[in-house]
Amino acid sequence: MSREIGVAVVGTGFVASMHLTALARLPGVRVVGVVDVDPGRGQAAARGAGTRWTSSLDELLAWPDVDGCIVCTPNDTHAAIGQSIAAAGKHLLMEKPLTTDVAAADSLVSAFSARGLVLMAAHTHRFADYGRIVKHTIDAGEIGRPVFIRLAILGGWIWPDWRAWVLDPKRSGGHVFHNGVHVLDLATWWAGDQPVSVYAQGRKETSGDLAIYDYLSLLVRYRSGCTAVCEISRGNRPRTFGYRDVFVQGTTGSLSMPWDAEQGIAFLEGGTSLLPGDGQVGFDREVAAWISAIRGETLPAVTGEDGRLSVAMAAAGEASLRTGECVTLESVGYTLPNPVASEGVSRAL
Amino acid sequence: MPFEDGRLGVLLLSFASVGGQEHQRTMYVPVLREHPALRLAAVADEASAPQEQHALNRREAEALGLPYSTDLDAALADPRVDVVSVCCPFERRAEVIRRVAAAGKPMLVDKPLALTRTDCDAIERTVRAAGVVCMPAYHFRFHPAVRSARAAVMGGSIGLPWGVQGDFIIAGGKSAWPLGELANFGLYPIDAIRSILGLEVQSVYATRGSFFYGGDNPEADDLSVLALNLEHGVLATISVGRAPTTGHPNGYGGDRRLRIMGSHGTLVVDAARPWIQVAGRDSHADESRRYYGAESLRALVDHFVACVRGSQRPELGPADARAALEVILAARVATAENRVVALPRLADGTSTPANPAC
Repeated sequence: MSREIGVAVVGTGFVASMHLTALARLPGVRVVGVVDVDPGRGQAAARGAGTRWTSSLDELLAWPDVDGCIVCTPNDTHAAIGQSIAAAGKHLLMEKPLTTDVAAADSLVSAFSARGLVLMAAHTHRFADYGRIVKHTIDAGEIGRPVFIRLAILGGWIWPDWRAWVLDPKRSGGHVFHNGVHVLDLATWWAGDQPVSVYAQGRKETSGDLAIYDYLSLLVRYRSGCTAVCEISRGNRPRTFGYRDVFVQGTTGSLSMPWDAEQGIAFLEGGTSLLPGDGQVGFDREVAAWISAIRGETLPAVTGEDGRLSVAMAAAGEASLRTGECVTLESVGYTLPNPVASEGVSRAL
Repeated sequence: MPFEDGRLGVLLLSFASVGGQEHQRTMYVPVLREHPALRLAAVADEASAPQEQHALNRREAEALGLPYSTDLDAALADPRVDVVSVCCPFERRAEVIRRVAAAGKPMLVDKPLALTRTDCDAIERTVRAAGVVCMPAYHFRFHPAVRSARAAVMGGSIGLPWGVQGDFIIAGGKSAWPLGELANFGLYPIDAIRSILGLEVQSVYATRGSFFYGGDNPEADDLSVLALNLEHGVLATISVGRAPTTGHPNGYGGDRRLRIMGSHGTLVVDAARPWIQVAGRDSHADESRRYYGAESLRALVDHFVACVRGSQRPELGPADARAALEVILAARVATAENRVVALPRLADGTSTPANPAC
């Protein structure tokens, strides 16, 4: 029987609760503690998980029963916290984005690689039912090689108020970093291709005073000539809008996943909406995959390199929003981990 | 002068194959022949047209039981000819349209109206000076799905529109159009978006490729993706092309959708609707959804007839063709140079608003 894996959770905001729930369901795993600079929030999370709390990351990392950490802190803290965890010799599941700049991502990937530690970027949508069936259909060759991907995840639920750190681009990196990486990573995983550049279009719909774009449309060019249009939004109307749309055109066929494909439809006095689904949103599988990688049973399902690539796409997207131009990944400091031959597939004109 | 029964006489001007597409025979004649306000009168072409073109035109005329003339001016002067359906090659089109306009005859013109700014502008000047209706067959804007979206937007249903996402990928065909599907089909969603929003495109970024049909012709793109920036900061993306998809539930119509997002709501329209889905031993898997709505080309012809009769003002003309052409030309440059391309502002007097009152 595999030994128990001790996990600590760093940061106890909303997304930490999703990870803690997933950890509680997973056999052979014990939550050994949480850390949060906010005593009230941290202690509440610790009570809920039946574990201990500290306000000191150094103290937590010194606990001998910690094998790995799940980091759920604001994006601008990821790089430094990740380095501390690497230095402590712990494995890491880092909430997206891995970091908020490419150089920091390079450094983080190197730090974990050099120590032989697992670094997984939490691109949860890869583990959701819908993300997996699309990937499976493409990989099975049913539609040939993808040449166009449209992926839209749209909502109208802006973060609670102006105090939300996500609204501050200095802390979140901007919306391309914060949520854009979800769709950028997923489309790229489906494409199985190397992204080359990003052209971003954005809107500030909820308020003209926003410093981030609450709606994003990100056009990604891939090495083979494939193009993806990835949309992510917190600025649609109505406020209750929840809409996901997937379309992939391949060389021999296409697949569609319309907005209402996954759930029943409720026609209620307050309007029309989808019923809650009972499918996997991804956290359970994600945590299980990370634990499996820590145990050495499988390779990480999402690697640090994958996280680094998403950071580069996000950096290119944010740069594109600033300049209004198409921005290459190379120009934001991204270098390929392993040069890939480009012959044979490119038919872009 | 209309026929005695009040129907307008139609001159079919050439049955040319334009890039392998015989639209006069396959698209326009079936709609014009069945239209209750029209009656096919004759077939004609320029005397200078190639002999094989004359031979083809003559065969088509005989098949329809119509007279054929190689004296175009005489055919245009025939009092039984009230309107003209122009379907000649691009290299002759501007001159042919000049002659039709000089005869004072309203015309329906195959799409794309022209491939160059020069031809487009010449056509616009000609028909403007003559004061005749010249309607390019950009019929997608008349599709019920597009019309309903336009009406909803104009009625304020979604507040101020700020974004559009669209796909226009036809499922079927043995080859890409030699001049590229961007030029062939791109005008449809571009024109539809202009019609729905009443806004002009200001800049374009695009990717363009030949993924399905191959061949040696570098212009024969079969899938393009355009990112557009329109007036008031409105953004849009469009995928456009032709894919050899078999078994598509919508059949040849493929994927033709628009999502329009606004300050107070979101519209999702699908040109495959209204459809009935049929499954059975004898049904075809590639057309399990069968469209039963109004045909957009017929709706365009209805509008054309109403304009000819003076009961409506044309909402579609050469300026709209020019606007779509500018986007397509910009998309080609954007692809070739991998950059955002700003569109030239159309000079006053050579353009009309995207949504003229009518």
